[in-house]
Amino acid sequence: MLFKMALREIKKISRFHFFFLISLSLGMTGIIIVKNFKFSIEKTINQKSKKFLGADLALSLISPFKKEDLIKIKSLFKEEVQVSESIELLTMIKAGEKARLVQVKGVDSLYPFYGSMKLQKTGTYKAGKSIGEDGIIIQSELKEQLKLKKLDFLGIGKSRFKIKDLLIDDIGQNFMGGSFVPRVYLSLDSLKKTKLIQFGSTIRYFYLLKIKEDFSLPDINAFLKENFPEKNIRVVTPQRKGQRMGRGVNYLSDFLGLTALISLLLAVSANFYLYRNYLSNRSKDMAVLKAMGFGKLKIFTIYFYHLLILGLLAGVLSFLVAAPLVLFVNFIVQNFTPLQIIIQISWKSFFYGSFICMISNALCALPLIIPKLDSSITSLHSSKFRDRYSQKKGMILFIPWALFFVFISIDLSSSYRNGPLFCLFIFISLLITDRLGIWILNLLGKARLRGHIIFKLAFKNMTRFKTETLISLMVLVLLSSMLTLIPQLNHVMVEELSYFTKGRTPHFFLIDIQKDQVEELRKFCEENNVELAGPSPMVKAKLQSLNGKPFEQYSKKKKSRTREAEMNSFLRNRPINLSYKEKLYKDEIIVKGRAFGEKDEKGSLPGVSLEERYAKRLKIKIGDEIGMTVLGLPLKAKVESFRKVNWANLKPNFFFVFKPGVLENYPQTFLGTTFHDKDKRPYGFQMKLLDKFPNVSSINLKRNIEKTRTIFNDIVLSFRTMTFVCLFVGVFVIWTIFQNQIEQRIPDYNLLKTLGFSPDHLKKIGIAEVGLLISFAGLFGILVGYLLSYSLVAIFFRNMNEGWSFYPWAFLPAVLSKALIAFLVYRFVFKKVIEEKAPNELLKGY
Amino acid sequence: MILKVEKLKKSYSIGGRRKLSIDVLKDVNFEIQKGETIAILGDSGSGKSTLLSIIGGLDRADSGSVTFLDKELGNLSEKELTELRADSLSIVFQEYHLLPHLTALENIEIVLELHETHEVRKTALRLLNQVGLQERASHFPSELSGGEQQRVAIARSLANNPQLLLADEPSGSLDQKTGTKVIDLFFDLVKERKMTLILVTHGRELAKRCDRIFHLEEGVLVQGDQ
Ligand SMILES: Nc1ncnc2c1ncn2[C@@H]1O[C@H](COP(=O)(O)OP(=O)(O)OP(=O)(O)O)[C@@H](O)[C@H]1O
Ligand SMILES: [Mg+2]
Repeated sequence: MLFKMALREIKKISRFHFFFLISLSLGMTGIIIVKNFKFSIEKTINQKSKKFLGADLALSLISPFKKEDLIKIKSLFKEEVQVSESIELLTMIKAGEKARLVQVKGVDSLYPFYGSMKLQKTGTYKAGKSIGEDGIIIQSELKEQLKLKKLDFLGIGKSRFKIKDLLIDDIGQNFMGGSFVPRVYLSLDSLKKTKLIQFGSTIRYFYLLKIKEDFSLPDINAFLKENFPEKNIRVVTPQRKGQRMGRGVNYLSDFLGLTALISLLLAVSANFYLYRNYLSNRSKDMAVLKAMGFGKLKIFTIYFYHLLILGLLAGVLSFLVAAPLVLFVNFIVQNFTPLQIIIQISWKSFFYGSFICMISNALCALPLIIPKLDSSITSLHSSKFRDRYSQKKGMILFIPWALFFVFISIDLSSSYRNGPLFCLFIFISLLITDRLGIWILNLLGKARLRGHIIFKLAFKNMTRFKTETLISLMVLVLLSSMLTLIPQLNHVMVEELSYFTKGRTPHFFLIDIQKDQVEELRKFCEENNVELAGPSPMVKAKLQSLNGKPFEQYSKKKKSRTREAEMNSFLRNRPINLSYKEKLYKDEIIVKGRAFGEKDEKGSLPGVSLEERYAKRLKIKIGDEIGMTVLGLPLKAKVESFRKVNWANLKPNFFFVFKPGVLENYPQTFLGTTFHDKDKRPYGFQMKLLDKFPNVSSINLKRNIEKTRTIFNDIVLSFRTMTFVCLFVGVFVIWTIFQNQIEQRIPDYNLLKTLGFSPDHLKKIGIAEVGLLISFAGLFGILVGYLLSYSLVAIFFRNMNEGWSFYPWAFLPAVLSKALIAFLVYRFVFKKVIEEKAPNELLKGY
Repeated sequence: MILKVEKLKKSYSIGGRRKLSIDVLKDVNFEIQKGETIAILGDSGSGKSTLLSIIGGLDRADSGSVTFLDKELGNLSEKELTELRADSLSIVFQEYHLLPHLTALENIEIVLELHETHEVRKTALRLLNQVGLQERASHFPSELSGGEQQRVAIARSLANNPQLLLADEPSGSLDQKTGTKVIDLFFDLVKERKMTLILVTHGRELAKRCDRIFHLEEGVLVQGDQ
């Protein structure tokens, strides 16, 4: 019966229901879009991760297994295990006038176990097909880069091969330009003929395993560690591969999720306001129900059901709004994901949306209905315009909803840290808005205002309708902070992008320089009028222990639940590059610890200087002892200082820098970057370099910087789209609130008119009120926006080079939107209400 | 003569499409001298409030004229009507109609401040004092009883020193005893200031306290007690 009564409620005031439903469903739309986005990524990764990896398990290392090693590994499993071997290396190739760095991948006939590559002429390439003796398959973009007219012969290393086909779609290529270098496939035998497999080149050996039985990853890890302690074996599971491929997209969707959360918050605040007024108007009904013998609980239940039904309806509605928008998002996302995610509209998101709407409404019922249940008895001889209500009690009733909000934020950001931090920041800003608002309102309320009657009445309206004022204030603050946040973040991103292009941009990055070539290369560059930075030595190593405790090899959990866990396991598995030099660059500064170059104390471990942020991420402190292995040989060092590195100089930079005298005898190659005068043709240089140093690879940095830029642009675009959703919701919500507020006050306006206030007076009062509110909220919101952008940058983009920087014009959109809102409210609500309603209604008894 | 009403006509069309129209006021004529008090009696729905609202410039007549202080109301713009209400007229309603978010004192002050800005508080307090509510100055309407609220409304109606006071059943929402008290106070204040009053009421006893009595019947105003 109570449910029926709730249903009857819905039929009653249709205008209220209209606004309530529209605002909640609009607020939900962004979240549903993001959720669909996430579901689709998850699905794609789950479905395709084996295909991305091409195996059930992959081992990669920098020196090959011997036959016995493989037999040993196979013996770990009960059933027969198939192994496919492949080798990857980087080399320069040239054709005619052009030279390019490519990744050459030699594969056997078993490659890949799962998944396939798409070729232009012969269709799909799968395991079992072989590339053949002297044929190669090249990535189609390489054909364009080398300006090959037809599929001809191509020299790789010491051999020439016929290009058999073009690769259109590779397996398992990394997301977001992970491979800037085009690939060339050939058979293992052909690869040997190139004679490129020699010491000093960057070679990785891959062993793909096809395992029929279930296996435990920790066991395998333990086994490998025990049996091949000297080999730095990287173990990759399909999940890890999938995760890595999805990392960029995931970060983006986490970030968008939090933005979407703001629009939900906006909508809920507005609905809270609407429902509060709705209940006030129903207080007579409540009194009647009470007189009829309904208990508090029953009355609560009626409105509780009412809210639940509204939540469900809003959920359905938001799904209907979101579905077509998802298609649009699809269009944007296509640009930057080779995962080929087709964003599908998932039923799960429908239930998710409805669930959130319903629970949110249900939890809002507490602070909404409970105070009304009590007040209807005591309010007989008290005034709501007096500060009598217990604020603490009111706050407590909000807690369940706030917790739910935090819960959604965790889910949307897939992070126990980022989501709650974000919420905390929002809540604190709102709390400050609330406190500051109340304080100012009280101050204004107490002040004996001297000014004009218009201002007096405007102030009185604001100070006496405190809750209304505060809610509008909060919504306005949220909106203007959002609108400041976006251009500010945009600015930060653009700055970050131009970080590498600001100074002198080097043209080529040279790798695989041998020790005995360093002097010769210096001379060569000098002769060619090219400035050479470096060459700096690079020793490959792997982190083993910190203060004697081993670095956790792999995340214990099978699937990392949150991004933090993902990030940690990622960091700790990373092989590290060490370097040494006599002097730091001029723009490289020691920020903590001993000055660089000071002699180590006698008997102590060799000192190493770490890049500041890297050390922070791995929680390494000055004086810590770091255990590493270089090609299986142990190396210990003591952290003696932290450095701030100017990555933008694009010279060879390293996280770990030793002083001379430690690393010289370890195997090493050298890196360098070249700077050219503008009028010099860089391509000629690249060809000459290749002729003289065939083993040295050069990467065109300029082109790669451009490539990153387009990816970032896409991110900014999708972020903006989300912002428009928020903006739309925000303006709608504020419009709703103001309209409702003015409607509630129509009787007052009429009374003022009969007392001799002209429509002009009333308009001025309204403008003063809205104007004061908007300008205060605007100012404060803009401040919050700047702060929020700062903390978001701190939370999400900790590894940025430039960091946060102030964008003075970021406040403009917020100001403009405020002006727009003020205009809309004035033109379409205020003017109408004041000019059209005849004052004589008062005498007609309403 | 302060007010002259001639051949006043007002009808309302109701029922949308079919244009059913009811003639509320058919032919209303009367005059009232400065300082005079008149009562208008009539059944519910006879058009008393309609008449008051036209005189008060809140509504416009279909035809006929209302001449107040030598001005023909029909010829005045909205702005001029507003000024007229602010300066020369006051209305006391059956439902008090105080602004709920302003205190008793502030409800009076806003009317005063339309005219002058100095000594507002003093004047407002004096008015409250005259209706015996100086102690309740800082109370909100919802904290006052019906009778007290009506007294505040009366004090407010006197704030602009109106030439003409219109009252629409000022005791209509009050119980007998409170009503009588409020009305006594009301008449005392009106007589003391020698104000012109048009009082709409159901109560014959109340009407008798006025100088003249009119009856509104079938859209026509007739003088006399019958
Ligand atoms: N805006 C309107 N539209 C249509 N009809 C109206 C309107 N205002 C009043 N009426 C009608 O005009 C008639 C007179 O109304 P009015 O309020 O003047 O009566 P009254 O004499 O004041 O009654 P009461 O003593 O109950 O207050 C009524 O029949 C009413 O229904
Ligand atoms: Mg009436």
